[in-house]
Amino acid sequence: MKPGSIAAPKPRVFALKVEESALLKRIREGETELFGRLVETHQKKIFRIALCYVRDPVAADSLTQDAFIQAFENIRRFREEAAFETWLTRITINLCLNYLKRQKRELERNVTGSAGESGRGDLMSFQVADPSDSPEEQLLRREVMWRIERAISLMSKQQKTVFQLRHYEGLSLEEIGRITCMNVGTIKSHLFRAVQKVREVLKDRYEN
Amino acid sequence: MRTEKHLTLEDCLQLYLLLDEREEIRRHLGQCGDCLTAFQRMQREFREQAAELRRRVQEVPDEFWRRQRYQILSRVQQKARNQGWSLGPFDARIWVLVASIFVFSVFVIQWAPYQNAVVGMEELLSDVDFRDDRLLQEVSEAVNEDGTTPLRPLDLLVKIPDGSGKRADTERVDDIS
Repeated sequence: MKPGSIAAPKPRVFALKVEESALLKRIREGETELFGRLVETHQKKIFRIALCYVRDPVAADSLTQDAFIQAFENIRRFREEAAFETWLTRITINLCLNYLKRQKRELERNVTGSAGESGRGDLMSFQVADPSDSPEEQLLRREVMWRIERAISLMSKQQKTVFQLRHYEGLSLEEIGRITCMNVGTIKSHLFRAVQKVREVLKDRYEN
Repeated sequence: MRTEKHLTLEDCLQLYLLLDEREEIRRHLGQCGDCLTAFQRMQREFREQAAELRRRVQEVPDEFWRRQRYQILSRVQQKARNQGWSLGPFDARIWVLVASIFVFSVFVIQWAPYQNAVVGMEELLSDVDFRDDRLLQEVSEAVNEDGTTPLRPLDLLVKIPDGSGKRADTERVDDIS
């Protein structure tokens, strides 16, 4: 799409938004059991985003639950200026960043740093190897994943957020802007710096 | 000139992440087969890596999602019960209820007691037979009636009976004079 052009409204997206809006209205009016529908629709994505941040399935599960609870508690204040999913993603990211900050503090408090790491799960261990892959392919995949994860761990929280939303979720810069409340220029700037970190850990692999 | 140099990893990453923002790189890719191959390889590996996470999350058993949903909804229901959530401060029903109570209160305070008082007074007056008025009139007459004899100070003096039959006060006056 060329810059400045206006996207034609997609009928299905519009219908979903209307449906979601009606659902939110009923939940606000007291039909709290309908909140289950929203959970069912969004729980996988929210879990995936949390997992990208914390790399620990147990913590990601807990953060996913917390995000939904926080959304429920504030659903009356949600003005529907953005989609529910955008708002929920923002809540999740904030919770994840707070979680990481707490983790970092705990790690710093611990002299050896071993306690902070020992209890943590691992994204790699969460994943099950695809039996259809050859050992070489599995190794290659693991290596790329490990390097990208290493690069992400070197990024600032803003760089991490924009990179993960772009890379893992495939969101457009405008969508990332709605979630993070940043303008496109700022997002590009963070992505540019994130690219430097990725390049650092991948250069020996791709620049030969 | 960009088109004469091969693309760097940074160029490829920027192209991958920012898409159509870098038209000159796209132009170079159209001309240089080596760079195109390198970029496509990197892009494929990155996309596979991202899709891998998505796929693995999709492969999580349904039981996990059911349990997660159950736990979220249990907490939601608990919150709703604890906070009286189903009738929150912005609920229109709350305002209707408050308005109804107000109107009812106004009715009870302003109209109903007045009606009761009027009815009560009428009943009272029918039983009284105006006896109070009569009593009031009698008291008023008694107070206003000036039928008593004015006090004469000399009457207060002790009368000493004597044989002359004169009044003591008269005699005393005579004595002084």
